[in-house]
Order: sequence, then C-alpha cells, then structure tokens
Amino acid sequence: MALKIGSTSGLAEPFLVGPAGDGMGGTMTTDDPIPGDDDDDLFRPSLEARADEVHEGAPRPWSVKPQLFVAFFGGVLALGAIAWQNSGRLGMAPSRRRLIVVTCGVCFVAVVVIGAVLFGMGTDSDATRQTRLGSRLVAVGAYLVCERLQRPWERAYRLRRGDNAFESLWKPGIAAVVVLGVVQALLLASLRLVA
Amino acid sequence: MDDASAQLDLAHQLLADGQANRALEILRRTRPSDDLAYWSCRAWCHRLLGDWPAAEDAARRGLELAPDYPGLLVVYADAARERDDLAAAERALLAALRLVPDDPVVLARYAVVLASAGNTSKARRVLDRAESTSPADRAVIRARALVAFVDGDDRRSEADARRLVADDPQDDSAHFVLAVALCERRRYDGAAARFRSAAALDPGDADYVEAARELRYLRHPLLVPLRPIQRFGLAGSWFALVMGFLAAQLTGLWPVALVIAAVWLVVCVYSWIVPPALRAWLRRQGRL
Repeated sequence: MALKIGSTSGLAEPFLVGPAGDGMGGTMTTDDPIPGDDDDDLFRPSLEARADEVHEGAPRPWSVKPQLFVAFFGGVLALGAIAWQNSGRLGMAPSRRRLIVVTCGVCFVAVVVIGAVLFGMGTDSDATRQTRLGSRLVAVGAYLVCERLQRPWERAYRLRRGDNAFESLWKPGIAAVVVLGVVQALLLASLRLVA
Repeated sequence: MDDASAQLDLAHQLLADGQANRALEILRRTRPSDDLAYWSCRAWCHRLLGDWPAAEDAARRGLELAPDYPGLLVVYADAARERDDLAAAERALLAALRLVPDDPVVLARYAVVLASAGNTSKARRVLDRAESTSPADRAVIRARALVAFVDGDDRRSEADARRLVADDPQDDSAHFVLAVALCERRRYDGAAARFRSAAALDPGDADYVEAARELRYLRHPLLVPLRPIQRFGLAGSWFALVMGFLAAQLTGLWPVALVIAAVWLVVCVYSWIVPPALRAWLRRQGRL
C-alpha cells in the first residue's frame, strides 16, 4: 500500500509568523548555542554522515517481510546475505548491521551443531530430514531477529518514500536461495561424512 | 497604507484563514519585492499547497533577507525533508531552535526528521523536551505517533493518533495517521473508514485518495482467500502452517499433513498470481 505519511499530511499545522518584526523574530542569532544544551548532544547535528550514505540514485532497499521466504527456503546464509545488503540500502547504523551479522553467524553455528548432533545420533535419512527441519526453524528464528533490527529503518524509509518505493526481492531472493541454499546444504551434507 | 501593503495584509489574512490558493493569487498580482513579509507569506502558501520546490525557493529568497527568521527556516526544513535531504532539514531546524529553543512545533518537526533517519531514540528525547513545556501540543502528539510508527510501536502510534482525532475530528491528517496505525495493526476495516474520513475532509490530497484506493483493492472479494495472511501477517501465517504440518506429521496424520501442504501451496500460488493481475486490471479500469 502506498502510504506516504511524511508529507503535507504529516505536519500540517499552520506555523504562521506575521510580517517582519512580529511573532517569532527573537533576539538570538543562529550562531548562539541553544539554551539548555549544556551537557548532551540533543541539538548537535547528527545526520551529516547519513546524507552521504543514502543518496539519489542509490539502490532502493527491499521490504523486510519477504525475507521470511528467503530464510525458509534458503537458510541462514541466504537470509544473512540479503539482510546485510538491505541494511546498507536502508542506511542502518553500523552497530545494528553488525548485529545482523552476529545473529546470522550464531544461528548458522547452531544449525551446524544441530546437524552434527543429529547425524551422530540417528540414521542417515532421519537425521537429514530433522536437520533440514531444524535448519529451517533456526532460519525463521534468525529472520524474526533480523526483521526486528531492520524494522525502524524500514519504517523510516516508508515514512519518507511510501510503501511502493521498495525494490522487488524476487530476483536477488531467488539467487540467494539457490546459491547460498546450495552452499549451506553442501556444508551440512559434509557433516554426514564427518559424523 | 499603500496598495501593495494592503494586498500583502489581505494575503496574510487569507493564509491565516486557510485560503492559501486565494492568498497566492493576490501575491502573484503583487510584484515580488525585498519584503520579508512577502516571501514569508508566499513560502507558507506554497508549503500548505504542497508545492515544495516553490516553497523552498520562496523560503530561500526570504532567508537571504533575514537568515534568522524561524518561520522561513521551518518551511525550508519541510521542503528539504520532502526531497529527502534530511541533513539540510536538520540544519535549518537547529538554526530555528537557536532562536526559539522551546517551541513545540519546531521541536516536533525536528523529532520527525530524526525519526525519518531512523534515529528514534534522539527523536524521543527531543519530544520529551517539547512535552516538558507543551504536553498537549498537537504537533508534539502527532510527532509522537510518527516516532512510535517508526519504532514499530503500533499500539502507541494508534493511541496517540486517537488522541489527535478525538481532540479535533476535523483534522484530516490526524485521521490519516490513525489509519496508518490501524493498517499496521491489520485492522483494515477501521483503517479504510479513517482513510475515507481523511479523504472526505480534504478531497484534494492525493495521498488520502491513493491510500483509500489501495485499501479498497486489499478488501476486494478476489483477495478473500488471502485474508488470513492479511490478518495474522506473513510470519504468523507461515508459523501456523509449519506447526500444523509438523503436528500432523508427528502424530502420523499424513492425509491431514498433505491437505495442509496442498492448501498452502494453492494459497501461495494464488498470492503470487492474483494480486498483481487484479492490480493491473483495476488500474486499466481506472479504479486504482
């Protein structure tokens, strides 16, 4: 749905000042510090760096919800690649982007551990089926965390550009599922040889 | 008072009465001058009519005459934000805050700019400052709703938006913000009613009209099979499917598991084909 809630509909209060010398001229100048701004960064510019990151012509981000399909069908590696790429397109803070990497890394380790345990315990066919199921559940769990991390920036993007401004995830999603899904499957299959 | 001054005063009065179009007509008949009041009035007319490039240009012309004029700094910031130059919007609003540090309207705008950049923690602190002096200011409440939206706190966003609507049912933008919050909480019938209210109060706003159309599309009878996904969300629907399938499998109810899988496959294929086709058809009919 095209919802652009940040334009004229967002802050439409009339902010009228009268002819010069009336209303809000004040006696301060734009070079004076802001009163009450002694001890924190509340009124220091904080968006200068961001203006360079997300510029005109930059690739548009993907919506976060469809990443669930990437996680379910492609696994944690596929999700991690897409979520990492998207976090850059959304202009997320570096600390948050690192959390995405950590989340997917931890979940991938969990998948490997689950596979190793199951292959060590059960028959080949049972272990394969259960490992596949377990890796899907872990990937969906990773998606829920990555979705929560990306949500504020996705919402901020929607606030500025509307819902229809996102790029389609079809091609990159399928590519991630196919390529990184195969990589993950091969890695897990190699556990069978080791176990 | 000469004729030009009288025209300018009339334009100001019309603008204060919400008749930005008529005010602009009068200003266009007046020769542009090095009069700050002229450019201030013109900037606000363009801003209220949503003509952002003209608003920014008028604000810039006025700021050349008086760099420390908060009203024009605010218009300039609004226009910069509209073209997604949040750094420029922030600079303008900080300049205004140096002049009027506790003005709730400026603080609210600054909070929305910060939220638009994803910096909701700082936005909330700015709004705390605004609320310390003007707790019931509508601009501050509206900014709270928008910051809550960005944060993903849809309950808070809805609650703040309801306060706005209750306080002034004739405020179209309040209905719109409430409609957005209801959409996020998947209460589409309530959202549709609010979009219609906003469009009824301001039929000329393209955003309202488009949003109402989108919701009509979502509630189209052909999309009834997808209502569970709309209601419970993608993750929730998939979770229910997977749990149901696993439960059937683990209890040996293979026919049930197969039925669940088959129904879901049909729904998936339906969701991939029907919505885009329906959207294209409605567009050709001019109904979307």
